[in-house]
Amino acid sequence: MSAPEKPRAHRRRHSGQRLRVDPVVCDGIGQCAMVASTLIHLDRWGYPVVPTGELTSPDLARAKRAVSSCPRQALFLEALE
Amino acid sequence: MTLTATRIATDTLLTGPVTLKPSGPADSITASVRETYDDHVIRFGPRPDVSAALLARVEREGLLGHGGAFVPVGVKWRSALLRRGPLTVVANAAESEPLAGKDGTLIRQRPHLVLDGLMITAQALGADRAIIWLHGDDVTGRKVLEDAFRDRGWSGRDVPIEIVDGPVHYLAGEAQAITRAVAGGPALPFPRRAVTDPYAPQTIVHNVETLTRLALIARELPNPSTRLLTVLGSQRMVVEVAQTTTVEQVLIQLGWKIAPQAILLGGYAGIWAKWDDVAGLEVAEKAMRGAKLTLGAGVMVPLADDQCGVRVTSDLVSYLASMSARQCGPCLFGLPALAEHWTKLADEDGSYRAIERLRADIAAVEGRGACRHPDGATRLSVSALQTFSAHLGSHVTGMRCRHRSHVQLPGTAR
Repeated sequence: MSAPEKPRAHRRRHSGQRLRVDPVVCDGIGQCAMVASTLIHLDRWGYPVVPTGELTSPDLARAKRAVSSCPRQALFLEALE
Repeated sequence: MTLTATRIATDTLLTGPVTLKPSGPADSITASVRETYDDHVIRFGPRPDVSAALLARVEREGLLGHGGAFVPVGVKWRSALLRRGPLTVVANAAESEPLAGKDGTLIRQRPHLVLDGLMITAQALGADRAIIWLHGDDVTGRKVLEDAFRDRGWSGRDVPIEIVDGPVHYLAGEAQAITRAVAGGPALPFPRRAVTDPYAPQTIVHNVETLTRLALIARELPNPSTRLLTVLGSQRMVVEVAQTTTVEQVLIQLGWKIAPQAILLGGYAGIWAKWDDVAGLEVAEKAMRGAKLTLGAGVMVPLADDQCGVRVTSDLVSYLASMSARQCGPCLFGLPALAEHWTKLADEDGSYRAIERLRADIAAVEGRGACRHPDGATRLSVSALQTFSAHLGSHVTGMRCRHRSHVQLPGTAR
């Protein structure tokens, strides 16, 4: 493995972003949990529980699909400081 | 006790302890004396002009917010000074917690110290608006402030401070709700999000007690090393005690003869603690935090030995559920679920399974609202499960609860 690839491999694991839900806007429609079932699950009242930590790069792609699928635009990505 | 010692005129915040009506605004049951502007100036001197050194002094004194969260004032000021948008500073006098009465008492006894603190903040930060935010039913508070304005000769368009009546609701004093309301929106909480536009309008909310302390620090007077407490015994009282006073000493001072079994710290969304665990603790927030407790806005509710803590908790969680802003699903559905579990437990209608279900729902609700309201209910529930664990056993095993005299805390329904 050549040296320049290392930082790239690092970027693959850490996206620097996290997924958040605006609970005021969210109506518990549940679309997000359908398109990103490995990332988001619904609580017993039908509202999404999203991961709190930094997203990995593969998860970031899933999270983006969830964000764009939300009919209420309640999901958003936030850069970590 | 420390309180009776003679002292110079400026080392306390209150002019004296008061007995208040059982709940609601901090109206005392006896006549309360408002410090006039002349007395205020004689006692503390005129309001000092604000210099650039004030922020440094505030940080050196380590002034913290006294609304319950203890955020350093310097942190709020620095973030405001970094941004350019029009600034509103708010004195938060809406004590929406049904028992809390220290801020309303400060407004009633020392309105000019509060006004000074707000003016100083506005001047230090170059604010465009200064507002005093009241709980909607605080009629006396508004009248006292209007009288204080008149004292100062403020009238008509020259009044530098607006008095704004918030709604009559438990969440009326929530900082984000106030921020939204003073910007023209509904007084409802909304989630904190990172602000990217440096020119966006901004709001700083300070608690009333924080502002009175600030008014003293700006005069280079010491920040009083006392703590204001609202204690509900046979009466609701607001007292000022030295930080080194223990919880037990506070109750002795207020005439408690028999030790309670437990005590609720911080108010209806507070934390239960066993009496033996807190009796010897100092009321200083540092001592409380050291024991993983907090007194929040300084409310204490001792629970007498013959009362059922499970029943009281059930009343409190039901109250908190009724006071949801009904915006966020986990709060709107989760808090009634918690209340239902607690009611079942209190009615001796549940088994150990009910406790398990309660724990599962606590985990499902925690941290999932736009504001911290649901977290208050979960924290209260967790502390109650711990504090009353032995007694809870008699509720779920059919042994029957021995406590037959049930207190009903003010404002709660059953």
